[in-house]
Amino acid sequence: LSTFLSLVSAQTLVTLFLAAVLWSLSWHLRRQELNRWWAWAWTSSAFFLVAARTAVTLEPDSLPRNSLVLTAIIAGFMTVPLLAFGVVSFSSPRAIGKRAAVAGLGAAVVVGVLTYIVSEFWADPIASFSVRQGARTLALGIVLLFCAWVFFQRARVSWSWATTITGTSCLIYGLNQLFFASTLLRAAYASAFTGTADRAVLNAVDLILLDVAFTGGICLGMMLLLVEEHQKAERALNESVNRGRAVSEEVAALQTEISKRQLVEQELRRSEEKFASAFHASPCAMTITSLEGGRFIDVNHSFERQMGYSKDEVMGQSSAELDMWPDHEERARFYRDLLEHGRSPERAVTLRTKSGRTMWAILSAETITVDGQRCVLSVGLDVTARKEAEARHVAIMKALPDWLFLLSKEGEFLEFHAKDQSHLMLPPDQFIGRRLADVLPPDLAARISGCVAEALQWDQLVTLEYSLPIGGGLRFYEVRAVPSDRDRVLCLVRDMTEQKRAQHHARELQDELAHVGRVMALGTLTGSLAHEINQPLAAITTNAHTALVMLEAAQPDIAEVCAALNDIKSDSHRIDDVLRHLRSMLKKERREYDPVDVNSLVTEVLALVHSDVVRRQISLDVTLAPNLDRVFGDRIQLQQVVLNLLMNACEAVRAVDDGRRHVRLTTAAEHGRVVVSVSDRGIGFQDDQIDRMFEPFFTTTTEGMGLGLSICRAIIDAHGGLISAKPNPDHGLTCWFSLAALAPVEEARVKQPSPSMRSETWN
Amino acid sequence: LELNHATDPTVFVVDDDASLRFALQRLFRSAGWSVQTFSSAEEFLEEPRDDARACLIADVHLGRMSGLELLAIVVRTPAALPAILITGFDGGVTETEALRLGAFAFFRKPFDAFELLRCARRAVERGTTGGGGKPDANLPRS
Repeated sequence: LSTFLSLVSAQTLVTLFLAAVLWSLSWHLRRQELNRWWAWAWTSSAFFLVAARTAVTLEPDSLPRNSLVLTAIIAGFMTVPLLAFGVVSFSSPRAIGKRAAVAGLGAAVVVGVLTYIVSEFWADPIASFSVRQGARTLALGIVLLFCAWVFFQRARVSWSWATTITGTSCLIYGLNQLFFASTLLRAAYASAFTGTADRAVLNAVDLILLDVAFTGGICLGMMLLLVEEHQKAERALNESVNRGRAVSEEVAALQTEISKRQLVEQELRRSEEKFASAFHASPCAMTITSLEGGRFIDVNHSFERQMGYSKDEVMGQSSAELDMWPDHEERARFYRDLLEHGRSPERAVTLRTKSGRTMWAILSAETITVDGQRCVLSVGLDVTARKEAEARHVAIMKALPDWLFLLSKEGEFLEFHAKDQSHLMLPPDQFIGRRLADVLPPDLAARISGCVAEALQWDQLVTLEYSLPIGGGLRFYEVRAVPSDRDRVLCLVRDMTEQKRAQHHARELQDELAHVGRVMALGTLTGSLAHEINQPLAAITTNAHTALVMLEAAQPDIAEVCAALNDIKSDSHRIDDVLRHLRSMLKKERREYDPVDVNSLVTEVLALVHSDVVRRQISLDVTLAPNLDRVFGDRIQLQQVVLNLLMNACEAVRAVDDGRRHVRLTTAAEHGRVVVSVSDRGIGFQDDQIDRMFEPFFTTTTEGMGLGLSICRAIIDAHGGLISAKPNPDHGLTCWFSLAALAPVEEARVKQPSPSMRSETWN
Repeated sequence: LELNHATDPTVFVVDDDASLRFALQRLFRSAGWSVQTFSSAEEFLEEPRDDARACLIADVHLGRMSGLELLAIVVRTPAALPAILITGFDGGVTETEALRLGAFAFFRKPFDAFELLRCARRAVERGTTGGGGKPDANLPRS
């Protein structure tokens, strides 16, 4: 018994230690319900052990002992629900409410009291002890197995030494209690029927060692649980520290983000400002319209300028309402693209300005979002000028009678345009891509190449005339080469054949007219010309008569006869001269340009008009400049001009008094030109008459046709000269013409015409 | 050609054409006339002369003073020098004017030298017989 008691004491100490540990835990860790319940449980267990131990020492069947036993058994049974509450709240906290606790503990008290009453049927103290302790240990064993089950459940979910050790301790402790209970109950059963107390109970005392050991195990387990909790708490702390760190990092990141956003916002604002200035400064017309309805939200200055609308006029209106799109289909396509693809690629459109003018524009647009509203940013480039220039270009090309070749620097044919290709040497596809030398005769190719090179070198227009035998006849062309860019030349080739033909025809007509003019001029001179011939003729006939008479004499004076005959000869020459001049003037032959001495041709004319001047009693004053350069021209036609001017002057002085019938003819060299002027002191002309006097059919008399001076002008124009008239300060009029003087070098050149000049002559 | 008078008749030739002057000089000289030539009317009028048994042959178209003007002067002289006018132009108006002014005869160049000589002779004879001033009705018109 003493061994038993000492073991119980040891157990009591361990249990108290356990209770103390648990109390201390539950005191420090209030949240741990397990600790609190189990502190109570093991306290009640310790109370039971202490009470039971104390009861053994008291006198049997005494009131103090019995009440102590009752109290002990109640305390012992109370351990059971308290343990159960502990593990239940361990697995699911706050599962045990106040009512459940009261019910459980109440039940334990009732069972304790009942057990005590039942055990009192056994007289034998050991037997009744066995009954009481059997019931208690049975209940304790069961609840410990439950505890073990709960801990193992936990260990299965998350293994730890604490739960495993606690669970194992509970299991073995429980099994031990069950085994102890069965021993006690068997002993109680035996004593009830045999009346003898079984000492086996005492033999089972060794088992209390197990109880002590596993109460210690539970203690260890609880410590470990504490450690575990501590570790958990530490982990949780670490976690929260980490989380805190993470949070602070997040906060920092957030701050960075915010400042970044501010920067972005600033950037955005700046870019908005940039956009606004680009929008308004752009030379392109730009608009922002709503996607739905296409109403104007903003337009820039270029738009206002180009379309003629002010911003206020278009705001809130749509382009359809303002009738800006002459082609509604086009507008529909534009918006369809925007709706389907979010953008409208560059397209050439026609728009109508406020004034109704049609404007060509390259329009592109993109949808953008402005203040949450879907809008369209449109950019339009006014290409009206370009379009018009293109149209003009096309029109010019259409109207141009010329062939247009684009040649490279190397003389390669790049492009060709022509309205009429009938007189081309080759069809275009046979020379495009080929070179001049491959297509044209070598000398012509060389000349045109030179022309192209010259045009490029000096960046100027270079012209060249050439002829080509095409289609059985010679055709004449003029090529004008003008640099198109740095290494391409535009060659405009004009067919001059018809023009040449017309020129030739005109020249023939002019020759004809000049001839008629000469005939007419000489017609007015016929009287004078007759005199010019009659004068020597009279001398001839007289001399001839005299000579004959002399020869009939008996002794003819031969010397005098010879003198007469010599005079006849010289007078015949005089007639011959006059007739030759006359014939040349009347001759209708193709004019030929030669170097002409103006003084000599004037002298010849004077020979023709001499008699006329004499007859009219005009004093003719002739001043010929010595050493006059020659001019390049048609001798006969120039004589005709001089003749006409002289006769006009003579006509002008006809009506005035004898004393004023002066006509003055001079030749002079002035600034590289030869000037022939004829001035009279006649009646003169009004200024407006002077302006018209070189026009055909202008006449102040009823006799002439008024063609003389117009023919003169035609002749001088053809010679590249000038002809004019001016009134004299005192009386009359001065008519003059001037021709370029030939320098000696030029004269040498015109005597040997160059090949190009020869090619220009008409055959 | 015989003449009844002791002295040779004289002809005054006024013409601006030297060639014709020489030809007429040669013609009249070979016929035994005394010839004096002048290139202009003024020259003729300045020269002192003897109008007896003389006649004047003058061209109508002379430099400053024309043959007709000269005619008008000589017909008014006391001797009424008979004048024959010649011209290279075929102007009918001039001829009529000359005859109206009292020209003895009017010839157009080229003329028949024989006719001119004969006319000049008649003019001198008419002058000496005192019937001067009347033109010959049978004047040749060449």
